[in-house]
Amino acid sequence: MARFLTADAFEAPEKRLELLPFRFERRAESYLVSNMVGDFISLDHDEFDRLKDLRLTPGDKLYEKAYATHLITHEGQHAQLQLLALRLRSRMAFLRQMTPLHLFVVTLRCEHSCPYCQVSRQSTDRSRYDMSEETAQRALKIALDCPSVRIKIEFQGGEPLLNFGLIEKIVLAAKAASSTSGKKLDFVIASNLALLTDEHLSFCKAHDVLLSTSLDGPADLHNKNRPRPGGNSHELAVNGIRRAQKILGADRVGALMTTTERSLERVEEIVDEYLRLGLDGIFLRPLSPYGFAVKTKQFHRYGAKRWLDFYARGLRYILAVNRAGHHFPEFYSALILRRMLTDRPIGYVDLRSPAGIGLGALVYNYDGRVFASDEGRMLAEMGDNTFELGGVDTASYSSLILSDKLIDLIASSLTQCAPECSDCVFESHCGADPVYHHATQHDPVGIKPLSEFCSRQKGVMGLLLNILDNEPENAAILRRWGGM
Amino acid sequence: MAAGITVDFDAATQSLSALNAAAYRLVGTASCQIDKDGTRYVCRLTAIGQLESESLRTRYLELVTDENVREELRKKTDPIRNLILSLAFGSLAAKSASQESEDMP
Repeated sequence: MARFLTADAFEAPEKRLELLPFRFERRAESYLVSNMVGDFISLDHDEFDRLKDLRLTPGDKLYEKAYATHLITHEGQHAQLQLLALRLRSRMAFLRQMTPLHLFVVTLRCEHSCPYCQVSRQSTDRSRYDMSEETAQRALKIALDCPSVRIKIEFQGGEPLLNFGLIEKIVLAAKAASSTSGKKLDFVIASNLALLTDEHLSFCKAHDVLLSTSLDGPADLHNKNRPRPGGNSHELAVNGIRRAQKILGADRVGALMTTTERSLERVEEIVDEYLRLGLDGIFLRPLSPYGFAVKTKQFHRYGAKRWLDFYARGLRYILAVNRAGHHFPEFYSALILRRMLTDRPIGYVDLRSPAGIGLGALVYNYDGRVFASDEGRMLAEMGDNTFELGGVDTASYSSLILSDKLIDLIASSLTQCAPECSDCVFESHCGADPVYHHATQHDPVGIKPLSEFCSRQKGVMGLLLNILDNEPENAAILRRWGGM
Repeated sequence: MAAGITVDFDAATQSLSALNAAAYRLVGTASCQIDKDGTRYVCRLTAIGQLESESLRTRYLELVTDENVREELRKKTDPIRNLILSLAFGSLAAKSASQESEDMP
């Protein structure tokens, strides 16, 4: 009569257990542990000790948890290593898209006088602060020479609509060049929309140009943050958004808010304003340490903790909106969640390592100087040329990207080997941001225990992880935002 | 007044690099001066804010413990980490990547 063999007969031959690389952070009652590609697991102190000492065996639950999270393997087992390598390569595949973003600062003039302006706008002297056609054509050649099959050309200011004639010329020239090269092009104008005309909209419609604007919340808050002659910035922005939604389509205009000290207690009203205007989400964005935001001391009026309180309250309110059936993501959370929950390559320039300076974006200033990032040109307006890579009159795409200056800045700021970052449990989902750390600490690496960027990142990711682990209904919403 | 304490370790069993890494994590919370006195590393900690002596000692000891674990983990896992990195980005990766589509999501 046939008999079943005992369980021992089905066990694989004994092979030595090995640890795979992982990072950890001590919490009050537990350790947060992440593997080489940023999958998280929470272990109590006893579990953590058993893991690091490899005191686990099949069937004890910890073995299964550690194995599933790629924290342990067996000697000679190749599939797990191949899988981690494949996932790591997928996550870093944004490096294969060289410089997908090209920003043209077509003018530094602006009719607004925002105290937090990060680009140090000018109000006079058209000949001095507008980009010339010759400079634009040279910049365009550099942009089109970059090897990416698809690039985005974004027009920045000042207020770029003040030099709209040049925008038209650049768009037409770029499209003409791409018809032979096959390069795919996207266009965006970052405008306050105060000067938006039907002619502008017709051109945008005809050439598939997106609009991105600033909206800081309800009228009184927005107008205090963004003064202009007539005190009607909000009215004009709202009018512009509505006209753009009608003529270009609801998904062809987006808005960004900037958090000032006045915003901190009003996040619900700010979110409501975005909902009222039918915008498809909101980006709860802190102030950056550049331009007038520093000169007028706006940047120093609140720290990371107060911003995190603002963000957490806003996120709770936005989740309630989503629970009521309205899909309305907080875009920064969605970006982080895509990195935490998927292996898709996310090349967002402020949140990657190697840093996005140059490799992710190039900025062609109105005067022909080329910068490694938008924030780099903002620093230059404050007299700091650390991130200036060259000029359009003499530089080529290769000379800019392969410049010693850029390579040094990127190599020196890698989170994969920076102090504290290299061991940080959140490293896989964070970024280097050498411009921020240069601006705040005069060091592209940055002393991370003193970095507000670091505090904000850890705060945001910690909150998102807490919700994912403990609040099923909200976790389902966050997973949708993350593209799962 | 800011708390000031001294914590010392046996130099034969405690690595200096772990003490330095733990001190780095205290930047902004406390300053730390590390000297070698005979066979012992002496860490003089001074809190920058209102942190009490005992809390500062506990915090530093926890950080040193964690840094010791990180050093131990690095010793055990660096070879496998380098192998995974070479599989992801080395010549084997280059060979398989060349066969992949150029399309990026």
